[in-house]
Amino acid sequence: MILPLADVPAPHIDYKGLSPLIALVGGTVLVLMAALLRGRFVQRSLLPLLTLGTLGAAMGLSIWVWSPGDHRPIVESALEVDALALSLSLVFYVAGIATVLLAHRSAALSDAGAGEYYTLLLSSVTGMVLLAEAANLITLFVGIELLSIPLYVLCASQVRRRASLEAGLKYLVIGSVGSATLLYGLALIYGAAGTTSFAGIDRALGDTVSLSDPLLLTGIALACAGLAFKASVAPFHQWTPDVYQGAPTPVTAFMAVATKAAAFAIFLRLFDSALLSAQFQWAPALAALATITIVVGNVGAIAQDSLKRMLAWSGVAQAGYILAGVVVGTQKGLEATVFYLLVYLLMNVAAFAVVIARERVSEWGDGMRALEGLGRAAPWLAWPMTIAMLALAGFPATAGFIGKFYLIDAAVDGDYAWLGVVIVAGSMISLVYYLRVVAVMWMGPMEVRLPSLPGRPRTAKPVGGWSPEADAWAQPEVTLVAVACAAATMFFGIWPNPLFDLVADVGTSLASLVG
Amino acid sequence: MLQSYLPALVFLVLGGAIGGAFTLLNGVLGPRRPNPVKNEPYECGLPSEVKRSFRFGISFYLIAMLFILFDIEVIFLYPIAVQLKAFGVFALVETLVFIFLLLVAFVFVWRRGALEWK
Amino acid sequence: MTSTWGWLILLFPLVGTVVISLGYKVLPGRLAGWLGSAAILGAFVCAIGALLSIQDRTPEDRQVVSTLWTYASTAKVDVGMTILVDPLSVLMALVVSGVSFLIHVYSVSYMGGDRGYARYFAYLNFFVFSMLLLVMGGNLVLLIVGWAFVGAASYLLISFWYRRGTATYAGLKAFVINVVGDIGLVVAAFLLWSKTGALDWTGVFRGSHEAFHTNDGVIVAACLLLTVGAFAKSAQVPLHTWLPDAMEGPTPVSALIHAATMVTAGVYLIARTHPLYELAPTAADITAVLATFTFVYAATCAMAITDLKRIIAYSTISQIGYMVVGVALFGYANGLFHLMTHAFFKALLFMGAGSIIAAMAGEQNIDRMGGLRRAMPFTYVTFMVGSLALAGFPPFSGWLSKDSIVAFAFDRGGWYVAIGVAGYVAALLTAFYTFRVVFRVFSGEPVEEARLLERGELAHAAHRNPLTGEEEDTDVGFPGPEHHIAERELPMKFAMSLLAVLAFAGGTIGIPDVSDVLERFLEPTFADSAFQGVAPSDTAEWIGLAVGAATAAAGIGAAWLVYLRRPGLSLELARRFPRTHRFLERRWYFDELYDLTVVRPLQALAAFSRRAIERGIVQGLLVGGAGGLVRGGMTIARTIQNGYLRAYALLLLTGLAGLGLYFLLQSS
Repeated sequence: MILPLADVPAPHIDYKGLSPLIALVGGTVLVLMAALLRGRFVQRSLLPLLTLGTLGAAMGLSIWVWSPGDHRPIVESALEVDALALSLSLVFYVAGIATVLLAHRSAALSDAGAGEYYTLLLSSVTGMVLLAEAANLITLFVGIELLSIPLYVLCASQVRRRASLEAGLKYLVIGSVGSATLLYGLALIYGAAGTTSFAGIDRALGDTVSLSDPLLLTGIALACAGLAFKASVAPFHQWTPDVYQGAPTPVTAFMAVATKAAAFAIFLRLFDSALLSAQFQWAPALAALATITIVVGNVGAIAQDSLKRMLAWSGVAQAGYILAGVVVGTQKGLEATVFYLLVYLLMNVAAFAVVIARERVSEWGDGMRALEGLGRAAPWLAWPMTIAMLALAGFPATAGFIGKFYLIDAAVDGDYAWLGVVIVAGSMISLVYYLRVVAVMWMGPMEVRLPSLPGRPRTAKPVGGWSPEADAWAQPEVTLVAVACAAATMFFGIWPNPLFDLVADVGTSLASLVG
Repeated sequence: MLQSYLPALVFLVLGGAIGGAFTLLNGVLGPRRPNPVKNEPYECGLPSEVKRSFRFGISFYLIAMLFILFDIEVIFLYPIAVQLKAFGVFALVETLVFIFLLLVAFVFVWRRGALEWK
Repeated sequence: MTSTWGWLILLFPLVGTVVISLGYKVLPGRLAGWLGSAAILGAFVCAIGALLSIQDRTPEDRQVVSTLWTYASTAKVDVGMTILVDPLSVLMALVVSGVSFLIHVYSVSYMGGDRGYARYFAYLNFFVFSMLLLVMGGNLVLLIVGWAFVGAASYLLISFWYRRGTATYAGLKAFVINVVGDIGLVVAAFLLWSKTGALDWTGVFRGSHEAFHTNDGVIVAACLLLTVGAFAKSAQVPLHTWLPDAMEGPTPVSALIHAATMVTAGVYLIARTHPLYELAPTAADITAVLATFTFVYAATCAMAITDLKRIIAYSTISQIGYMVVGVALFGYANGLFHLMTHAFFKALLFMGAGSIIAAMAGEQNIDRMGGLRRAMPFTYVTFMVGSLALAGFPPFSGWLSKDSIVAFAFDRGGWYVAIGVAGYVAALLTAFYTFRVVFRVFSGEPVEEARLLERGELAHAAHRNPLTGEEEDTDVGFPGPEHHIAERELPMKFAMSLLAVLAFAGGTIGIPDVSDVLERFLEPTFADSAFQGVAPSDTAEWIGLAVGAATAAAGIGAAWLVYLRRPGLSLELARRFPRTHRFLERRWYFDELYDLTVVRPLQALAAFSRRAIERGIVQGLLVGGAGGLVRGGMTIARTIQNGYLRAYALLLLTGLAGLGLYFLLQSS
């Protein structure tokens, strides 16, 4: 077949809007090339600095691009920039920066090679930003693959640990199933609507395409399942605890916050914008999924002894809460979702930072016992963990409370009051395992085992905030991340107005919800 | 609406049932007189010589994978090559960026020694 | 300026809390105590500043609202960090910070030998901050925050000696009952918000006048829920059982939190929300009746029990009953007058009790005390002043304040007269049991400890829990032997003598016909009340005061007869009426009633569900009780979560099939 040789116009590209992505790709290439240089300085200092610089530059450019209430295409009908994309990009950048800091002394770094590690991280962030800015099904899928594939590798990056390899493989297999399901769904939606652009689908639905078209509905079902994989929504959550536990903890932290935010970005774009006309069809299913997720996640978390597994299950439960904001399909739901994703970043990173600090020095690894007596031994770690746990449980005066309140309010406002009740009930159950962590830290025994000959353990009470094996400031960057995130959690719990202003701007970014 | 799927369902059930039935009948009715030769994997009539300790070199996979990767990437160049005039300068620049990224990857792979046979 | 003073009142204790809690390791000796006292003194000075600056304003302008920042303005919820400075909150701030300062000073010495010295003052400062937040808060949300904070501080301080089983149990009990009240308060706030659309006081009051007619169902429900909150915090029947147990805390804590300040928060709440109660007279009447029952009930209990601190605790319950009656009958100034004088004399009584218990080496049973008068002259005199004020003997402060409430009840007429009569009956009982304590403790044959003290030695006893007789774990401090007596410590003497003066003369600001200072001061807050200016005639008040004085004298005389003149009479009475005695001693079996109707059934339910689930569903895999269902689900989740990809794939396909089926059904 011979194509007509008519002029195909080049897509209009807004290079200003594209600049954060260009910075990320450029930074990735730079880091990859710099990794070829040998020498301790390059490997230990230059690479992380380059990575941080890249993320910082991208962040700066994103803020520069930002103009409130604005949404415009950056690559015609492929990428679009609006407050939703930019605010979630901030989540990705901050999560990336935190991961770089947390991974600074990680074994995975030397196992896999610093250059590879940072390059993969940057590509994953690029994928997420691409995903958040996606304006059609193809870019959506490209974004999701670009974010997932580096993560598969990162999960396995601690190659000398079996659990890490297992986690990588598991994530690869399950993640591929998820991607395949999603792709199948997207294909069917395209088949039904006849267009890949979100705006086009929105126009076609209810106009040229019947809302009861089985092709469309099967497509939605499969896309829904595929995204549920990525967001670890039950019953597609089962990889989460295994992978979270097996993966190197900085990667786990990154996955827990950034991947989740990316998955919800696409939930919002696909369901609350492109498929909003079919809300009557998909909302009950998503609401049911949210309920199952809240119950399964909270119940699963109770019996965990590994902190990483506990946080994984708690992440499942939290995904259920966030999903409620998507289900209602209102402007307030959108605002609540983004608000929660922002504070979720803070509280979860704080918790993971403490886990990292402890698992490197404690003989209990990431077990609950690693935190015993931490309140006395290392208050600089115990307080951030306490704040993170209380915030995750939704205690007043923390940002977690306002986030949850916002979600419940959105649910009630969107005629899903019972979903609000489920969130409250879930939070009640969640107190059991969140407060357990707090109790272990502050009420556990204060003895610390001293290094000694085998068979003759010696114990001692730590004096005045010092303990022989866990000096919080031995890993200043980890403690810094923990303290900064916890402080921000408290700050936004007491003074949430900056975030309110931000999400109010985000609320106007999906045209389908406005008005 | 669902009813239109009924023939497909009937087809599936029938196909499964008949296939299953024959397998089952085979197992139930067929005589079973195994001997060592019969139990060997089919190997074109030759005695099988695969030992359990046999391994492919890991380098083989690496090289093969890299080859496939770079090979496939080239396919993306075809459509543009055919329609370059229609797409104009923009496509040319895009192609160059694309090749540049491939080149970066190639340099990395090369300098990292992934192409050396160990 | 007024609002600046208001903010400073809050700032000082907050800074004190932070400094002491951060510096608990480096603060030497008694510095933590002095720092804490200084912080509260600062708050008190600022409260005086606020008082002066508010008096400078015109009466119409004496309600100052100040917002530091807006906390949330989303979802129709408009909440700010707002305080309201008006005569009511200034009065409360003065009482709270003033009494707190004296109790801090007292504690500096009293707790001097305790292990948790700095911890104690950090908690105490935190409590004062929370209490001031509660009374100054300009909206319902801040009130609830302060309400919860004082609850937390109370819990922390009751369980202060946390190695003591009875103390931690008492803390838990207080916490649980207070949560019941918190729920009432939160639901009431929600009701009010949903109908009026506002959370700040002025908005709520204005909105409720528009939204409700008198005795509207919703406003009655809201007021009853507020009453539940008030009753839980103020230990009124039927939510009173936690307060006697709360005496497990250090004695100055009992004086501050469980007598003078926190427990009166319910009275403050009703006075603050008076426009709502006036819209719902039915709710106010129910509140008044329950409080009447409370003050009679508690007075009868106090006659039979023998634990010194618990007797004073029951007398607290009883006196708060009077205050609640005062405000629920819409005689706000009377209730608040009694709140103030009660804070003085009750704090004084507890301080005296602390000194006595220290002298008795931790012993709290008044039957084992006696003849301490000569050994502890200073304690005796001050305790006497407090007792006379509590008994309502002229011219002590309690006489004027209590009788103003009773006289107001008579003035309301109708069936309220019955409340007035009950008020006199309870006053008789009060005078009786108060002097029962005085005579038992200070008169009679000196006991061993008293003799020791007269020789200048302090008794020491084995560290045993007086309730259970268990050996004490002294790792975190211990009540009794390590504490100090007023006779030997200047700060304690200072605090007690000042309070004694106040308990004696505090009534002068409310002498009918002579000085109605308090009533006129509070007028701007209650200007919107329909009962503003309604008061019994001066003649009626003086008649009431005369009857009150006679009642008090009769009660004291009866106590003198029973405990001094014929010492065997009380025992004989107890033997003659064993059931009545036991009934009173067991405090009308309220604890047993709750045990039977609430605690036991819940335990039985938990036990049943444990048995049923263990045998029926998971065959001994679980050890859960009430949470059996959750644990059951957990086990199932863990069984599925076995780490095998194939198992995951199965569930995954099931989920996918379910989703697909759902959407396909939508298409038909």
